[in-house]
Amino acid sequence: MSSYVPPGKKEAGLEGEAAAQVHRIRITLTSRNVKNLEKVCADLKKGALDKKLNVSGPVRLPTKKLKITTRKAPSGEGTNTWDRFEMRIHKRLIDLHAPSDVVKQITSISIEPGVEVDVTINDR
Amino acid sequence: MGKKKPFIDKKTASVYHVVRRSQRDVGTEATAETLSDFVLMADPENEKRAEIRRRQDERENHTRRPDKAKGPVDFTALKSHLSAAGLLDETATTYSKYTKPISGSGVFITVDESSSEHLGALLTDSSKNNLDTALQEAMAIHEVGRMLDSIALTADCMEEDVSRALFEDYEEGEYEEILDDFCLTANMEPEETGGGASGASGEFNFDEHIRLLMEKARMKENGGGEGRELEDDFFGGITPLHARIEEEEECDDFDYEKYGEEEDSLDREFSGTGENYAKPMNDEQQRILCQKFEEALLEYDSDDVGDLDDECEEIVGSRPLEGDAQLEAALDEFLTEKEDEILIEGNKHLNQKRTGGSGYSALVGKTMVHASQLSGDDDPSKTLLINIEESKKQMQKDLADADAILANPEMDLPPEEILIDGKSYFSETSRNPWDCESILSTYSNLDNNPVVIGRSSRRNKKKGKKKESMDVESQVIPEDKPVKIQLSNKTGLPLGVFDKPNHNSSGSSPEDDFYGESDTYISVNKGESRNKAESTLEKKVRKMAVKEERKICRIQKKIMKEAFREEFQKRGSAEVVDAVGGTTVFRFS
Repeated sequence: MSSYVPPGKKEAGLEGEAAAQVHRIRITLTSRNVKNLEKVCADLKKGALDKKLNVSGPVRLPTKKLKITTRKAPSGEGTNTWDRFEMRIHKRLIDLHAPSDVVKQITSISIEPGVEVDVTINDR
Repeated sequence: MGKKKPFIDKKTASVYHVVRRSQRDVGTEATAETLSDFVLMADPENEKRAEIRRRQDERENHTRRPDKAKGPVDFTALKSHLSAAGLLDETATTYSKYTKPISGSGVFITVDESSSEHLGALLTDSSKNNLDTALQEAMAIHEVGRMLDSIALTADCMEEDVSRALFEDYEEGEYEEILDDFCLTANMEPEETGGGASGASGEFNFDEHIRLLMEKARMKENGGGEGRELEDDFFGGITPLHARIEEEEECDDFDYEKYGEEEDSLDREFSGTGENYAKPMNDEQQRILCQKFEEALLEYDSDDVGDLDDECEEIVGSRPLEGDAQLEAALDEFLTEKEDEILIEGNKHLNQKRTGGSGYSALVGKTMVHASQLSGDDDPSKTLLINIEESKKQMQKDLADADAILANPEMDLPPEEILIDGKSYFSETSRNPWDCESILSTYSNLDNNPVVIGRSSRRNKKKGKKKESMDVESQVIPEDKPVKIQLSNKTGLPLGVFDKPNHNSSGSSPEDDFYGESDTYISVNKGESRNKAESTLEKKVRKMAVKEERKICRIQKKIMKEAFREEFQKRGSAEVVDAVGGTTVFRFS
C-alpha cells in the first residue's frame, strides 16, 4: 500500500521524506478485553489522523478462543459435570505510514491495562 | 492480479513492544516530567532479522564475499579491511590484555599439532628423558649406614652388669660366650649318659630321667638325713602295701616293667634305699616285728571289751538282774524308745506289720481294749466274759511274743493275726489289684468296651428288638405252604424279613409297613416312559402317585433327622466332642 501524499506538497514532502524517511508501521493490538482494546485503537487512530498520517485500520482479526473443558470434581467421584472455560483473544491491526519519530510518540498515548501493543517497523 | 506485496515483511522488519516503563527508569531531572509511562522495547529477534536484511542487501548490491582460504584465516588483513569500512570498533573489549604469556619449560601444542604422531614425537624427544631420569632418581635405593652414634649410650640409663660389660674390661671366662651355632647344637640329640636315662631300646627314658632329677633334689634338700635310723629300721625291708595288693590281685595286664620303675621313687621312701630311708632289716628282726604286730591285732579282734580283769577289779562282780530296779528301768526305757521309733517311723519300711505305740491294745469283740484293762475288767454278760478270758490268754501269749520281738528288732517277726496296733493308719491299706474293673479294662478295645451294666436303656430296647426278631425267625414255616419271597424293586431285598412284628402307634410304622408290604404297588418307576396315548385321568393318577412318593420321602427324612438328634442328645455333649464323623469313638464306663 503506498502512502498518500497530497500533490501540492509533493516537493516539500520529498524534502521531508529525505529528512524523515517514512516507514511502514504496523501496530498490533492484542487484548482479552474488547472494550479496552477498542478504546486504544480509537485513540491511536485519532492521534494518527490528527497528525495527518496515512493510517488504515483498525483491522479486526478473528477472535481466538481458547477453550478448556474440564471435570468439575477434583476426584473422579460424583456426577460427570464439566466446566467449559474460554479465553477470547482479540487482535487489531493498525497500519501507518510515518517517520520513525512518530513511532516514539505512540508511547505518549494512554494504553489501557490488559492491552498489548506491538510496533513493527519495516525499515525500507 | 499479481501477488500482492505485503505491507510489512516479517522477516526483515523490526519489532518493538510497548511496555510500561520500569520504576527504576527515572531519567534525568530535565526529562523526568516529560517521560511517558510506556517504553518501546526491542524484540530480541531483531538482530536476526537485521542479519537477514543485511544479507539480502548485500545480495541485492551484488557484493562478493572473499573465498575461504584453505589455510588459516589472516586476521590482520581482515582487520584492516574492517577498519577501512569503518566497522571496526576500537572501543570493543580486547581480551588479549588479560591473557598471560606462556612461560615455563612446557611445550605448547596448538590445535593443528594435536595429532597423535606429533604428540608422540614431542614426548619422545625431551620430556620422556626427563621423566625417566626423575623416576630413576626417585626409585633409586640409597643405602644409608646405621647412625649408631646418634644413640646416646651412657652408663646411667642402663643396668650395672650391662654397663660393666660395655664399658669396662672383663675377663674372658666371666661371661659365657654364645656360639653362633647354638641353635644347631640345641637341636642335636643329647649324648647317652651312663645308661640311666636311656633304656634298653635306646630311646630317651623319661621315667628314669625324672627319677634321677628327684634324687638330686632330695639330696640337696636333705643334706644330712642319717639320724633317722630307728624309724627306718622299723619299716625297713617291708614291701609297701600297694605292692602287696598288686601281687594279690594277679593282674596279667599289669606291666611290672613299666610301672615298676615309676614306683621306684615311692618305694624308696618306704623301702629305705635312700639316705633318709629305713635301712634293710635282717630276717630275724623282721620276724620279731611281724610277731608283735600279729599279737597286737589279736588283741583287737576279740569280742571282749579288753583285758580289764587284771586292771580294774572294782567293776568286776556279779549282780542279780531280776528285781533290779535300775536294770528294769533301763530296759523299760529301751523298750519305750524302740516302740516310739516304730510309732514315729511307722511300719512301712518293714515287710511285715509290726506293733506300734506305747501300749498294747487288743481287739475284744469289736472294740480295742488296752492291755492294762484286760486283766481286771469284769464283763457282766457271760458271752463277753468268755470272750474276754479267751482273748486274755491269747493276749498274754501275744504279749510275750511281742516282748521277745521288741528285744530283738532285727529278727524276723512272726505273722500277726490280730491287729493289736491301735495306730493302724500308719500301715498301708492293701489294695486288691484284681478287681473286675481293672481286669475288664485290660481287655477293652474299640470293639469291646466294658460298660457298667444298667446304664443304657437302649440295650434293653435292643434286646427287646432282638427278642422279637428272634421270635420272628423262630416261626417255623410249614413245608406245605411255601411262602413266595417277594423282592422290592427299589432295594432288591426280600420283603417281610425286616418288618417289625409289633406295630406301634408311631406315625412312621404304618407308612413303613405300607411302603414295605406293597412296594411294587406304590413305588413309581421314574425310569419308565409314560404312555403317550394316556388319558387325562391316567395322567392325573400318575402325577398324584409321584407326589405321594415325594411326600413319603420327605416324612422319612424328617423322621431320620429326629432320630439322630435324639440319639446325640442322649449321648451327651462330652461324648459328642469325641465323635469322629458322627460316631463315638470311646465309651467311658
